[in-house]
Amino acid sequence: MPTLTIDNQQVTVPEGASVLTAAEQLGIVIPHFCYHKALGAVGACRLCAVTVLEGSQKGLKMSCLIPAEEGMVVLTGDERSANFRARVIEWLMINHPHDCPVCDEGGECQLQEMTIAGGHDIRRYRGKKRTYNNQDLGPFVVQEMNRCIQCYRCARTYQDYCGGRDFGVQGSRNRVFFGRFEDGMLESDFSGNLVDVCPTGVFTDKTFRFKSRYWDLQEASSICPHCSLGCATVPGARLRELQRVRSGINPQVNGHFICDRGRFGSGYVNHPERPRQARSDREGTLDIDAAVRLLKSRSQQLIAEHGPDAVLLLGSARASLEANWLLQQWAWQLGCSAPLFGAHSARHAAAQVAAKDLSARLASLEQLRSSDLVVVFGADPLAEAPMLALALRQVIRQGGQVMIYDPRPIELPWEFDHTSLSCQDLLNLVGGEKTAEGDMLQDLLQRSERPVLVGGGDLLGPNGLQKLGRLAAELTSEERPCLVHPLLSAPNSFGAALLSPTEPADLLSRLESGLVKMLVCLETDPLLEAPQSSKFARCHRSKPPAVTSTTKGDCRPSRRSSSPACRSPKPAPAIIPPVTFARKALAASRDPPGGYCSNCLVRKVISLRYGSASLRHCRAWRGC
Amino acid sequence: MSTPQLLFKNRRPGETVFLKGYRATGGYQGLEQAFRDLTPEEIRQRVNDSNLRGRGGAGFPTGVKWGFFPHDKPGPKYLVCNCDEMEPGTYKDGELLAADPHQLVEGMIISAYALQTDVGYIFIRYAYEQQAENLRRAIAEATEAGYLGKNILGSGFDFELHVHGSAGRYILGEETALLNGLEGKRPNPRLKPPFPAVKGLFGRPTTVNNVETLANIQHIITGGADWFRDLALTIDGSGTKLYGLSGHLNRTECHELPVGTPLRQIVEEYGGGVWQGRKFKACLPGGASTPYLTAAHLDVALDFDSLEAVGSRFGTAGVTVFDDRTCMVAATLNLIRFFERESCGWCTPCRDGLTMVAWLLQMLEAGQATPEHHGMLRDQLANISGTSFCALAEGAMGPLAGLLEHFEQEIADHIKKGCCPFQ
Repeated sequence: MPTLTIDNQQVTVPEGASVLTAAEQLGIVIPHFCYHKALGAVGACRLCAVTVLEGSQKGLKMSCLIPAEEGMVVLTGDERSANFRARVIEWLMINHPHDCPVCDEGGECQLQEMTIAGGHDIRRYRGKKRTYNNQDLGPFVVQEMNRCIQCYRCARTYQDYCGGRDFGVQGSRNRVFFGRFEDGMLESDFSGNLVDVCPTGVFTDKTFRFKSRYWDLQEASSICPHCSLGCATVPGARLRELQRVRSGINPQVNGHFICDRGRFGSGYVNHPERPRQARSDREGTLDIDAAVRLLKSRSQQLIAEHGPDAVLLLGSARASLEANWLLQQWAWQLGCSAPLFGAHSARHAAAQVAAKDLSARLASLEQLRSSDLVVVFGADPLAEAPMLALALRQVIRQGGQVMIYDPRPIELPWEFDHTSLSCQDLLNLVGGEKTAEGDMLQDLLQRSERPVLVGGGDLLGPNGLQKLGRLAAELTSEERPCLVHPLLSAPNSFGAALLSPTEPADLLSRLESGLVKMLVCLETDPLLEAPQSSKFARCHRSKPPAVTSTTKGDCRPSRRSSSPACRSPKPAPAIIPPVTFARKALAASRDPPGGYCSNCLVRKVISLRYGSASLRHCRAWRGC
Repeated sequence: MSTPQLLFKNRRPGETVFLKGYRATGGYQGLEQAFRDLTPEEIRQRVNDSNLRGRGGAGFPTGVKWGFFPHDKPGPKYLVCNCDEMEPGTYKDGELLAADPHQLVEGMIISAYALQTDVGYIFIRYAYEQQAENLRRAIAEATEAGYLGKNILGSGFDFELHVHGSAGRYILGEETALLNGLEGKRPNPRLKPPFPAVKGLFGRPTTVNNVETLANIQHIITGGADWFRDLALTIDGSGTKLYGLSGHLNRTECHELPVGTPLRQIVEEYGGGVWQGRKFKACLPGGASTPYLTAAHLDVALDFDSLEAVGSRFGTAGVTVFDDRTCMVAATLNLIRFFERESCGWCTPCRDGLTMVAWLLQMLEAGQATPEHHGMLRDQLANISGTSFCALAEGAMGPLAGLLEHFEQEIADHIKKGCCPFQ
């Protein structure tokens, strides 16, 4: 733990930390381009130069490359280093076009900031500028190579970090080109990260092109709703429209990057057919408050007439923990039976195993990335949880090993071991049955220093996950834990499972009993999510409940029917649409769209007034 | 010829000597002696004692470099010969391999034995097709004769040697870029540390040496370290050196002369004097990346330390002479354009800084420069020197530093006259 002095301030940093990160700890920003937390230091841009007065290397040094030493004395703002940094900026600006007024990066451009900070104002170079022909990189990313300052971040992200093979560095000297061999869509599932890592406007978001200036955009952090990993995202909205999504930073989950599904898969938020108003079959379009009143009175009436089983509340793995919890409160208030938290009982049961039986040995994605052996049972990482695939890539980059056991053909854009076996063999393998493969695997796991087992909840099911937990327990010793990463189905499967009673009743059997007169679905559509949806639909049609209220968040317009709501338009006589995952950003934008989040909707139903501060909190953060 | 000829002893115009001719003049005796009488430890010690300094340009003592090499580490280790000779004014390695390829092969086998490496690569410049052909034949002959392959001369030591063609960029002469190129990757230099001796080719310990350095090893073995040191004319120097003459001389040939031969003797005796009866104005003493020497330096002994003392470098001893009608601004521009073109594009001072320098020199040469541009040129020199990722930009600053130090007046004349005074 060396202690060094930077600009007359002392700081103690971990062994091996660079001077740049040590300065960061003090709040001193040393300008840089090629250094990136996730990609490391490569010493290409030479902008982070500082003057070292005391230390084993003295003089002008690149702060990203030199490790902090005990007793080191460093100046960041002295004349020599400031002058050199100004020259670096001048060199970088030799070829950079003056097109900031029409560049989408304007306002969030690191080059703009560094140019201003570096004191470079008038271009002394009057020679010819270097120009390139740009490539068409598909529907998501725009390339404008004339703006490039050759920090190599894009190639390091695309090739090294994400394992992409169709994009890289070409050419040499000041004609280095970052692109593909020929025009065409970027093949990587993580191509959108080029937009985030590029410090200037070479790679910008095509879906966001010329829509807004950065400073007009309202951004607010959110969590990606597309799979169960819960990556941090930052949606940006303007003019009642979600305009883009960029990656948030959560070191324990996604780190600095997100997948293209998370970045470009939110078009439904702006879709004109997404329901934005409450309506019921009888009354037509309703005011949301009126709909809430209707929901409240009908549910109370049905309980009074038919007893506690007449109303069934169905929470979901898409709704937040708070919303699901409030649903539980509502059930107690109504006096109806406890709510269910998943339309798909097997998935829900798997999530329950993860939340209850495996909770002592769960691995975060961060732990998974630093593992040396990851064994994946019954999961297709790129299809089910793309950022899991990217975490596996980091394992391989650091010399670790990834083994996948799955009956399906699995593709990952890098080398890995895939063994195809039937679902039964897969369960046997997880169960520790003695086979040649099983012995080999046991042996590998025993020798590994930081093993992690990944289990696909869908394929292994609750029993398989339990077996996986036992396997991990067997492999765990005092000094070396073996962790588990269960792959669940929806963003809040885990939270929903935490709220559920141990033995949940099956939704279908409850409906088939005929006692249920009203089904309230919170951010879920059983017709889409239940495993036997045809059976479910039949049951629905023969004995339609009196009122069904679907309040499905992120409600997508259906392609199969003309209904704007979901696949079950007729059996859902009332719909109250909550706002989407981008609610915070949208609410902060000028002239925000109305609506409540599902959390506040349920709270209104039960007229919960536990401290107005809490409601204000929701108002401020969710815009309700 | 007064100088003992070690490397060029078999050189005949238009001929290449192979195994038979090489053996006839004592070839492979050093190898036999090394395997018979010496331990790897003793060979390394002898090379260290000989004070042999790297002939590729940097002049780092070979014995010290070998001292860093973990020769006892188990697993694959590599010996790489850098034959990517591409610096303007340097052609000595090409001459040597065109005349006597077995010199390198023998030197590499002894070096491999000394360092206990099991695989060697000769990374050769794309244009040296004939030399590569010669080497392949020499390797085949040496293998046939039992000097290469398994169990060399019954010692139990195995060594295999491969020739690998370069893709043909100047940057591949930088040792870590060379290793990337050899691995089939983009030849950007690597971050150091780790140095190649720790983590080199394919992540394994590797030593990279120049052709001429390696070809000297067997002569150190046969002649001894003291004899080798005494070959030089300077006290600190050692051995002979291949001096490649070029530029405005009557005779531009490559000669093997003692280290420390004075510049005047090289120009007048071996180069036959400056051509067309003109006067000597300046020279690059060791290839395009070394600062100029002027007529005031004619009596300087060409050796590493004595040239450093006068602000230049010995480099590769490729002496390029300029006569008194040469515009040094134009000459420097020409050199800078080479370095600018050969930059790999990795770091900013080299990639864009050299572009800026080339533009400034071009403005000067075209007579469009102002005193402000002169100041900018100094500024570029101060900021590019010592700040780039590898030594390429550093080397490019050699001629510019020489220009700014010795030919200030010429720059001022360009600005004053508004044109090149030599045109």
